[in-house]
Amino acid sequence: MTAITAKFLMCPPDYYTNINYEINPWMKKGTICDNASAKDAWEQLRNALTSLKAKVFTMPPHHNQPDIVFTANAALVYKNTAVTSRFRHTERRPEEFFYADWLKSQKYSLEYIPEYMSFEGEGDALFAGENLYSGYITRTDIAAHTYIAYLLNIRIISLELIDERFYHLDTCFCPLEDGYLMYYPKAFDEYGNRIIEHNFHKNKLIPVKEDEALGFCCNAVNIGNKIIMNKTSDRLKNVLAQRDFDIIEIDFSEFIKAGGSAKCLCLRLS
Amino acid sequence: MDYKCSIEMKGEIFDSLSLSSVLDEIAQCGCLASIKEISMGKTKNEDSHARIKIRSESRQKLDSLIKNLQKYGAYPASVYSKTFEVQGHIIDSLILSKILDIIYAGKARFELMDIKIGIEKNDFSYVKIKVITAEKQLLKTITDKIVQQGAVLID
Repeated sequence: MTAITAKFLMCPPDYYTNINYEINPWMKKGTICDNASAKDAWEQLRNALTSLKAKVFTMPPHHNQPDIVFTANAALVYKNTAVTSRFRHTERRPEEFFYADWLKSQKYSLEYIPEYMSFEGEGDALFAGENLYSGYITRTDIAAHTYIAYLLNIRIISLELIDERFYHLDTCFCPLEDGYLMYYPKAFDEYGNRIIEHNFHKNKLIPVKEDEALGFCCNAVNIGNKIIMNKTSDRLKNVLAQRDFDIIEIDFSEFIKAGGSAKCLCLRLS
Repeated sequence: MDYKCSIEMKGEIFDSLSLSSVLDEIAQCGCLASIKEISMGKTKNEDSHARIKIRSESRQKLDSLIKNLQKYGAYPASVYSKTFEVQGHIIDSLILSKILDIIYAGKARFELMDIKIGIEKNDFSYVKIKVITAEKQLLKTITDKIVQQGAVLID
């Protein structure tokens, strides 16, 4: 039996159609999303993950909640505990119930963030080595970091996000296998850059250019030496290839209309 | 020197020798003076400014001195302060550095009232810090910024 490389939760984009509200700079109310293309990209992502021996769980979508497809924001999963999200924007708050319901059904022990704090799950919390790096200001409050660090007894390194286009950590910070980090330095302030340079070996840092970052290259899913991401530049592909990474490109442009790409579409359960 | 008060002077405090008169009078009274802020007007029309902290062993002596200094245009300074707590991985995340930089950049002062540094990797560090400034609006601006960095107002 082949070992499972990773486990993910995804939610099919059955109700992912037009952009009906604006909660990030990528969204423009009234934009039409091609549901068929979105479904095709989503299927390609699921197939890519399963081809890499990952186990993909799915949860049912809900009409009136088009952003429920972005399951990375459901929670932070650590061992058998799921710290559920508390969305900053009211438009996404109904999703909290559906995500929690699914996680409970899978026997995760649920932890809830206090009502006065915002926390948007794995979108703003990514493990790299022994640390959990967590973004704050735009969608997650730094107070949530302290709360989660206490809950899970882990060290959290807080990184302030200073460019509203990169409103979640996973849009500008992508830890990769073997200690590598692909990131967009200008999304962070000088303190964040100092922290990153201190915690990652300089030979393992892969800074990306603005146009690459705006193409959501950092919103990628990495399993082993494979990286699944939106279409990106030849320059970045060469840089990653030189470090023995293979890129699987999928056109996520329909999801980028809502401000998400590959990583946003799946919550890592392991 | 248990009794303290800050005074402020504004205007032509150098040309008129009022600053030196104030310092002389403080010394003659047996009190201690330390100049906390001083700025000299660059043009004839621009005011100079000084803020002086006075320390005395006697409340009565201090009160009498403050009253006397008014003839030189020196008055008790308005001081606004708030106390905050911050805890978490505030050293590793440079949050403490950021908060202190915000206070410095806002030209306010701070007093570190308590600090505990976590020893183990997952341990929290803790700081209790008092922010002091002469301007109410400035204190509000600094408060808003450091609360975003995780500082909790306690007083």
